[in-house]
Amino acid sequence: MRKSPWQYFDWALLITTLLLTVIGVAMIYSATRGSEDLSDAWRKQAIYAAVGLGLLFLVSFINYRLLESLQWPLYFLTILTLIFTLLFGGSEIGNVRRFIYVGGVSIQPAFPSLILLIISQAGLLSRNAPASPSVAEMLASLGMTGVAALLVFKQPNLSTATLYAATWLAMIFASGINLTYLEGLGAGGLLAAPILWANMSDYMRDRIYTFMDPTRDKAAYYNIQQALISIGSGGWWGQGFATGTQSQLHFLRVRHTDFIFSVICEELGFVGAALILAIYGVLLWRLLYIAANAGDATGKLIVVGVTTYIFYQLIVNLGMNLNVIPVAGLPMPLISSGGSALVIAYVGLGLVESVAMRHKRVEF
Amino acid sequence: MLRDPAARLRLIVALWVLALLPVLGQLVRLQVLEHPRYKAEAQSLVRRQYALPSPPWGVITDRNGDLLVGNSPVYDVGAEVNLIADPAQASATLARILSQPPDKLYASLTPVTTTQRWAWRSLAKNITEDQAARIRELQWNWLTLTPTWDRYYAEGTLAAHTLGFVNEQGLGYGVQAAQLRFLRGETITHYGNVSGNTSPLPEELAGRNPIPHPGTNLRLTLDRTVQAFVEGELATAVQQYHAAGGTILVLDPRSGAILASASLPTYAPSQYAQYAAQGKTDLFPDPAISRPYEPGSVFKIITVAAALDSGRANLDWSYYDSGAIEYGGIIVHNWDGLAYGHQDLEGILAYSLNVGVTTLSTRVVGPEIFYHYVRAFGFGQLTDVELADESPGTVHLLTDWDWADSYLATNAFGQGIAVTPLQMATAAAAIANGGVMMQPHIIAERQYPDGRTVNIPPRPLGRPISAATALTMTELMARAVEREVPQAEVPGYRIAGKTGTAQIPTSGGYDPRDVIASFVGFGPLPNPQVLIFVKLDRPDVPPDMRWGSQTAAPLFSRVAQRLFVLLKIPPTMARESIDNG
Repeated sequence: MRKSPWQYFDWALLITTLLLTVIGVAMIYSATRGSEDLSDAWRKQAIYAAVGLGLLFLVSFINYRLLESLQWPLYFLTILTLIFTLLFGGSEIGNVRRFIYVGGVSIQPAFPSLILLIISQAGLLSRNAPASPSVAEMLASLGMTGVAALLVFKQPNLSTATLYAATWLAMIFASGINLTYLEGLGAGGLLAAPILWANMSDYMRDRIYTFMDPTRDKAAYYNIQQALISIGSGGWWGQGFATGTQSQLHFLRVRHTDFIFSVICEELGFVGAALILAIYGVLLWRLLYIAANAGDATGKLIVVGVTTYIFYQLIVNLGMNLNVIPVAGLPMPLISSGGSALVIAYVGLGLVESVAMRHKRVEF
Repeated sequence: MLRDPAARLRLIVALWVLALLPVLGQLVRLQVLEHPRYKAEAQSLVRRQYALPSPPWGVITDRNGDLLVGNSPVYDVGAEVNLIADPAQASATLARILSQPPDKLYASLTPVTTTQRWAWRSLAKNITEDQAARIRELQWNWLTLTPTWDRYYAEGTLAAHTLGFVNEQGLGYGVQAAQLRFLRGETITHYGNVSGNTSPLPEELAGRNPIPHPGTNLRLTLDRTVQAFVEGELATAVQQYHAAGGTILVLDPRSGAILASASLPTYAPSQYAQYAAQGKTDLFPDPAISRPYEPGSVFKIITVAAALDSGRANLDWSYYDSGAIEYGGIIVHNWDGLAYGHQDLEGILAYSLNVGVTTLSTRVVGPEIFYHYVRAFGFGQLTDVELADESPGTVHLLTDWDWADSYLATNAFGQGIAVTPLQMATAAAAIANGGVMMQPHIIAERQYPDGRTVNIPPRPLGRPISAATALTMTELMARAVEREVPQAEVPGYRIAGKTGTAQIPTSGGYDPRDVIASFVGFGPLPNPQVLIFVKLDRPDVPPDMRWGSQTAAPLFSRVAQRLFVLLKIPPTMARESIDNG
């Protein structure tokens, strides 16, 4: 009797994901309580989570090896989406082409594009498996990712472009590439750094300057100060759910999205924040367990890509909340308010489940 | 080692953990090690002093309840300076809405130092509802709009001096400054929890009475119709006689109520800030109470009344007028330099003889009695009318260090003494009121916010002269008008009055040219209901036309004619003919 692939569905991963989502919905409720125009945010987040959950099962049902065979169409879809965004995208702030508005919902195409890119690059980099990729494949992959990252960078969106770079680096590293290639690449990158700096938008340089001299940008400095006060006033046990003065009294801005971690720290304290970080730890452990046990190199690389996609955002978001890195607009994955980001994360985790369910080599 | 794929995955995990370390470290530092400091800072943000919306001030109406001063809703605009992303753009936009120079706004919107984290600055006060709506549309979170009230002057410049204004510091003029403690509601400030946009929290307000105490309404004794008419007559006269200014006061001598008080030049109280900015603050003090002048011959009624009431002279008393009298080192002449021969009290008032009144003050009554009456009529003292910035005038007394004997001579005909128009009118009103001097007042009624109303009853100040003296004085003044100042007469009514043409003191003497022409009169006899004081400053007409009898008296006549009709007083002659018929 053939066993059902659902036998290998990773329930721990799903439960961890749902736990973080529930915490997110609760914290969004707390952060937006008392502001009229946002009072629906937590409900919307819950609905998106349900949609995401459906998509997770749907994607996990699809054999990722099928997607692998579509790597070139997927890559072109990635590039087309990003070009489309550059041409027709918009934003609330000035001359930024970052969002696509579909029926009242704003989507950042850079995130779904990255998921597509992860699949195509996983396919490309595992072409020689079990042997490691050659220089030609590495450079081809670098070029393909580079073009996509450049399109994102031009939106302009520095933090997401670095997300592309980090994802590629993790995947190329996990692909078993000869380290001398990577060293050569690193040396080249160092030489290219000044050129990159020269091509940065003013706002990007501003953010880096602001990080080094926090008093430069008053609005950003204000929010960082408010975030630090929120976090610091939380103490060991926090002020209690839905009672943090900083967030409840609206001193803290964008508190339900990028700065939700500050709300968590203020209301749930060090213990609550550490507990949530521990749940992320479980998530990371499950993801890397699945990567290590993947049925083939493609699956492993997909999982490594999705893992990086989630945890890079987490690290950057926490670093921003705690003022250890510059202000960068990356959300706290699975927790920050934002429908499309949540759905995309669920799709990524669906891919991971797809890999987990098919970890046995298929024998013909 | 790194050739093993599993090892590479472990390295990735290690890198993640490594990246998490600074995050965890910072978390421990903020939440555990420096928690007390941040907790205190969070507290200091939340607990702040806040004010509830300011209540409207009391409204001011005339004696019939017609609105003179009300309130219009306006807004104060402020900025939380440290939240402004782009001061240049913000100041350009706000400059258009607030009609302020962008440079000034830019300076207000730029923080002085970066350490002032919670700097809040006021940008504009008393902006209109329309402007506020345009500002709300901007949706700038750092802008604060505080609803408040601005004074609304229903009749524009009408009774400007009497109504006055109060500035930001609570200083000002007129009845509003004098009655500030009644008019101004109570602004309540509390110390408690406020939200990020500096308004108190609903929970914070739950335990308090959020309805601020509004101010007390004032009903004045002024009559809007009389005031408007008097202002019009004054303006016409000032123009006709090319005068620098003037004052008309209308009193009810029986109660001391001020029915009208008009002075020129005047101003618009709603625009006081603009006048102040242009340095025109001289317009603000009310000439009727704040600007003493030398009354001249009008003051002779006080001298004659003193002589009569003290019993030192009666209607049979007479003297020989040689055209000059010497006293205290000076020689007093009549206004025309002529000698008038044998004269009695009636002649003194009719011909307005300086020699005659000086004879009375120096030879007949003497300084003790004379100054007793001057004080009893209220000169040299505040009348305590409910108006701000009142002057007591100047009366030299025997006990003063700078006393000179000549004052007794010159004071008798109103020189060397300074009085306010209201003092002169109040003293004359005592004669009209049978010798009882009434407290001059402008407020008829206070209407408290709790619905209580308090009438301000007429209050006698004293009796400077007996009823008999008052009656005699009234008769003398009426005959003086009939004999020598027919211009002041009012057809159909009998009135009493006295003209004055005063020289204007300058440093080291008197202005050789300009005079102050005045007239005080009351009527109709025998029961005077209206007292009218008229003063014209520096009329610029040919010298023989500058006398009070030529300018102020006709003006008095015009005002009195119309007032008798407005106040529905039937003509004396008509009444007599009815009685006789």
